[in-house]
Order: sequence, then structure tokens, then C-alpha cells
Amino acid sequence: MPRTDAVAPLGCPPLRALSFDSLGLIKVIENSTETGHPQVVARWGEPSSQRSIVSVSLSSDEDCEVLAVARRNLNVEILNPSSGALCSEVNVRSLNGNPPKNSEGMESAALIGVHLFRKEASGLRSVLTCTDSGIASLQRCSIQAVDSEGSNDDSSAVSWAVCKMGSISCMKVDGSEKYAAFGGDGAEVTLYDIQSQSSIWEAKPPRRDNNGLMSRPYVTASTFLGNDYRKLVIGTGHHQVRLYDIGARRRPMMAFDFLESPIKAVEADTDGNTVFVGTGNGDLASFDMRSGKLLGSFKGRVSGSIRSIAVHPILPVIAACGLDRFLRVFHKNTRQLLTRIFLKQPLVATVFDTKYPAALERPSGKAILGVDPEKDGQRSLVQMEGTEEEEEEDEPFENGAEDLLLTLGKAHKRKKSKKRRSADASKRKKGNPSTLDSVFEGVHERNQKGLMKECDEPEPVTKLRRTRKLKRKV
Amino acid sequence: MPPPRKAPRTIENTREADETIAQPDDGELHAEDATDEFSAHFNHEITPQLLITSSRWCSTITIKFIAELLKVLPNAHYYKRGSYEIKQIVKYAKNRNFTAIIIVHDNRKDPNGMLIICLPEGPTAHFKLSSLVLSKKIKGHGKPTSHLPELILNNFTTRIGHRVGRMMASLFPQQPNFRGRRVVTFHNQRDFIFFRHHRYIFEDKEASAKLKKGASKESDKKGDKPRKVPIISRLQECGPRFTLKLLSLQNGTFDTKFGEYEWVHKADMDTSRRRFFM
Repeated sequence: MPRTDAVAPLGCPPLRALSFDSLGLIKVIENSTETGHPQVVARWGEPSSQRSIVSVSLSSDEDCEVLAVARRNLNVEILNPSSGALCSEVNVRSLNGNPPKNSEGMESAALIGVHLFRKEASGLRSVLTCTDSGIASLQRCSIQAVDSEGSNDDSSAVSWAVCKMGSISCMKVDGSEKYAAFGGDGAEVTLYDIQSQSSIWEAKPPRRDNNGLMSRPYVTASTFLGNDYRKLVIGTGHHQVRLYDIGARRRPMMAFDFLESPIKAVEADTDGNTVFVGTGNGDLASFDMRSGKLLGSFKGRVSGSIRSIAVHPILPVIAACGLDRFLRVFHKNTRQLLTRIFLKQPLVATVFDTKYPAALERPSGKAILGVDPEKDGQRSLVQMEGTEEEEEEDEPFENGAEDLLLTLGKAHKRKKSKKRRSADASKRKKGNPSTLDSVFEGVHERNQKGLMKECDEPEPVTKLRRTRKLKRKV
Repeated sequence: MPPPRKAPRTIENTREADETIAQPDDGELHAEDATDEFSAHFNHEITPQLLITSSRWCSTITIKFIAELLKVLPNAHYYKRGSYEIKQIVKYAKNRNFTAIIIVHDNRKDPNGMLIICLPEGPTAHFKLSSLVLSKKIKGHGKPTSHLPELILNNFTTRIGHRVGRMMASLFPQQPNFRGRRVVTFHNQRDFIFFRHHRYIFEDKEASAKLKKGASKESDKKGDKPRKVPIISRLQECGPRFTLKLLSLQNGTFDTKFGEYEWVHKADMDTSRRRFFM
């Protein structure tokens, strides 16, 4: 009998993710087993094209998580990501009194981004939204007051224009939540101070190429490296990835091309050096931003444009979703497909519920992960990785998530043929084959000379290790 | 008593399990169908208006093929390509309320590609076109009448297939004229979409036998009781005949530089001969 089923992916560690689609549905995907495949456990919302989701933001504090969902009808809903209960609702249309207009003066402006800030001392939270016409607005709202009808009128709203020409297509707020980068079609990336609503830095277009031509600015995605607002990575519609150092200069420190279709998603890894890049053609790859080198691409029969990449703060996994209606979970370092799930609709965004393994069983979560998930998971991962000495070798996961994922490796090992295994063994020079399998081969130790430091004292990027060739390019 | 005969194993019935196959009881599928780009067509809000053009410097075979397509597709209008870019044509057609653009590409005088751009907001499908047989080469072909044809869409099972099927359906008006007995078929098998165009007729067996013989004996009336006459159907192909294979499905109208794809055929998809996408 011929094989009638596809080779199953490895399976992923226990995690919980939320996917957001263009029909306005939110689906909760959960996997509670060690090496299982996630299932859709809940679906929130009713399908409607008007309520199509455009952007989401998850704000996670020590004690709680809150989710902001921006919809096409200029509504921002603030939800509880564990139950889906609506906490508050903000309508951007009602913020300014008159509906925001887009660049042609039409009233059909659309929201492109939303960011939910951490809880302030007063218990209120701020929401930053941006429309494609370039109107950013900051509004404060209370989460506890559950009034399902309309927006909170008592809250104050500030709005300002972030784009002189063109249209805005991406917005990103840095880790310290003081600055926001805006960029778009015809608009170079600009950094704004959120407190004063003033522009503090604007990128300069790259120099003319050797034909004397300039391409028009087209920023499609942006992200900050680590917790440092000075290191900004953007993706352009001209399939270029650029690294800017805000402290150093206005032209990119580094720029390189990636394939031939526009870059649609750029997301920084928690280690502060690596970025994940997704394109409109369904290509996903990771780059080391110190050298601009391609670390490798993620294979998994991605057939549609990638709209969103989410990096798990604790586990070494990323999730990518897009127009091919699949949510895929990859291993960050081996770049192997761990699982994929068909979610029926073109997906717009995905986020990981960072509290999930802790919520499952809190004591074991500590033991398994080696970190206290209640503390800053990002930082501890980096710190622990920074202590590693070996390079280019089979090494256990620094963050302790290794035990959790070891079972994955074993599952994989079983599937591999003996021949391949022996080849792997010969390849390894001093690795410990009994503890780790080749699933975790090539777990790079990238943090020794890492960019990422404490966000209080950022190191200028001018010290970046760059090759001679790249210098010439810049 | 011989054992019951087993169903033969084919590539189709042993295809790889696919979770994307559209289920008829899926509420989300109906919700998406109610809101997607083709919903206006299926709600009888618009009638299709097609613009057909060729690639630049096309061959006479392409022109002949387009002439036959114009007979198959109601409300289709041929425009000379000239030296216009596709994006310019899209803009032009949008302003004139066309609902789709069909562009036939050729290479070395051989039509080898078809681009279907749905207007005003996509999607855009790029097909490889092969095995083209014009009507004239089909033995015993018929001449199609101008009645609105019926449409048969076979085996568009997955979500991508469902979308492509709806796109094909949106090229034809929704009210077939059954008096014309014309039928257009898009048959999907192993991701190849076979296009056929037929005329059919239902007639009683004896009348057709007589016609074949050419004899005109009308004396065999057996009583006045209406008896059950066996009815047979006959089929005549009208042409053209061709095969399409989906290469990419793009979100939005044609834009190869900045466009986003919903589905692109990639090399690593072809690792199993039992894996199909439509």
C-alpha cells in the first residue's frame, strides 16, 4: 500500500498561541502534551469582513496579560487573552471627533498598527494606534471598567501626524515603550518620542545605486533589536533588510537583499542579534544582524505570504502565519518545522501566550524551563546563554528548556535511519551524543560578543563587527 | 460466489491526507464565501464583463485561440495588447467596470500561459496552459450557439481549489440558458484543470437510430398508448480543449514586484506524487 499520509512534523512543546484572521476571528491554539500537535481549543468572535483584524498587541506584565486587537472598522478591542472576555473598547473614529482621512482625502482610512502599553502606576493603560494616513493617536483607557457599549469618554486622547507624504504601513514600539518607529509606502522610517509626540530621528534614503537611480522609500516591517531603541531593523518592499543605528547616523549601518519578493514581516529574536524575515512569497529565514549573514531558511512548504512572526520569549520556538492559512511553529535554532495547523482563514497576526506553561503547572514550569517565568523571561534567557563558552558544537539548551525539548529530539531520533545517524555522529567532533540529538545541532552561541546589553546603557552600534565588504556597501 | 471486486487503487484515491479540504458543513467556509471578492457575483449583483488580451507580439495561433475563447465566454471583449503594461490594462479595465481580465501568453508561437485577474480587488491566478486543441482539430466538432452556457466544476475540493473554482465560475453569467444545451466543464484532476466545451442532446433511442440509418419509415405506430421510450443523451464537443495548471494565486491585482501571494507553487512541494493542492 502506498504511503497516503504526509510525514508528520516533530511536534512542539506545550504552548498556547492565538491567531487572528481577516474574518475577525480569534482562534486559540493549545498544546499541552510534551511533543504533540496543537489543537484549536476556542474561537472568539463572529465572522464578519468589517471586523477583519489588522493588528494586535499583547502586553504582558508580571501578574496579567492584556491583548489589544485593532479591527478594520477602526475599533480597538482590549481583551483578556486567557478567557477572551472584552475588557474595554476604543474607537479611533471617535477619538478625533471626525474620522481620520487617508492620503487622498477619502474617509476610508484603515488602522495599520496598535500597541498596548504596560500598566501605569495609576492602573490605566495607554493604547497607541496608527492609521495608514499617518495619524497616530495615544489614548488612555481603564481595563477594569467593563462597559461594553462604546468607548471610554473620560479618557484623554492625543493624536499627531507621523507622515508627511505617502502612507504608513508599519508601526513598532521599542521595548522600553518610549519610542515608536513609523514607516510606510513613500515614507522613510521615523522615530517618534511618544511622550512629546515629536520626531527624534528620521532615516535618510540610501545613496543612489551605480545607475544613479534611487528607489522610493517603502518600509513594510520594522523591529527593534533586543530592548535597545537605537538598533532598528526594517524590511522594505524592495526586498531589502536594513539595520539602522539611531545614535550613529541616518543612513543604514547595513543593508542586504533577501530574495526577490517584498519583505512582509521582520521580528527580532530575544537574543538581540538574530532577526527572522518573512516575504510576500512565503520565504522565511533568519539573519545574524552583526554580520548580515543568512543563518538559514525555514523549510516547511510555506506557500503563501508571511504576515506575522511571533517569537516565544522562553521556549526556542517561533510561529509564523500568513495568507496560506497555516500557522507553523519552527524551532528557532535548528529551523525545523515542529508543527503546523490549518486555521481556515487568511491569517493576519499571531501571538504566543507567554504565561501558558506557567499556567499549566507553575512549579514544574520553573523546574523545566530553568527560569522563573514570572520574572523577565527574555532577559534571563540571554544572560544564561551569555555564560556559554563553546562555539559551533552540540550543546544543551542554555536556558534549560532543553529537558523539555529533549523528548522532541528523541522522537526525531527514532524516525531517522541508522545510516544518517552514524553520519551525524561522525560529523560531531566532541559533542555528547547521548544527551542531544542532531535536532539541536547547530545551536549557535551567538551572545558572546552580543549586541544586547542592558537597555539602560546601550552600546553604540558603531562597534558592530562588520566585514570589509559590508563597510564598502554602506 | 466470487469475492466482491475491490476498487482499483489510483493516485487520486490514495492521495495524501489534506486537512485543507473544504467541508460542506463548515460555517467558516460559508462566512468567507459570503464576504470574499466573488460574493457580489454569486449574489447576482454584477454580471461578468471580461477583457481578453494577449501577450505582446502574439502569434496567430494565440489570436485563433482567443477568437474561440470569445465564443465560449459570454460578455468577453478582445482588446489588442499594443505595448501596454498589465498594470495599465488593469487600471483601464477597472475604470470601465470589467470584472476580469484574461491574458493569454505565448512562447515561440505556442500559447503557454494564462493569467486571470479578477477586478477590482483580485485575486490574480497564473496558470500554465498546455495541450491546446483548437475546435478545427477536433473531429466532428460542433459550432456553439450564443446561448449562455451551463458550467460544471469538478473536484475543486481544497480551500485553494474552492477559491479557484469560484474564480472560474465568476467568469460566466449565472443564468444558463438550458435551451441552448451548451456546457462548459472545468474538471480538476491531480491539480490539472481540464477545460472542455460540449453540446448535448437528449433524444429517444429509436429516433436517433433512424437518423443514423437515414431510413424514413414512419409506419411502425403501435397503437395509441404512449409507451416508454428509452432516452439517450448524445454529446458533441465544440472546442477548444486545453489544460491549465495553477502556478500562483496572488492576493490583489497583478503586481509581481510588491504583490503578496496566497499560494505559490514551489519546488519542495513536489516531493510526493500523491500530494495535490486543489
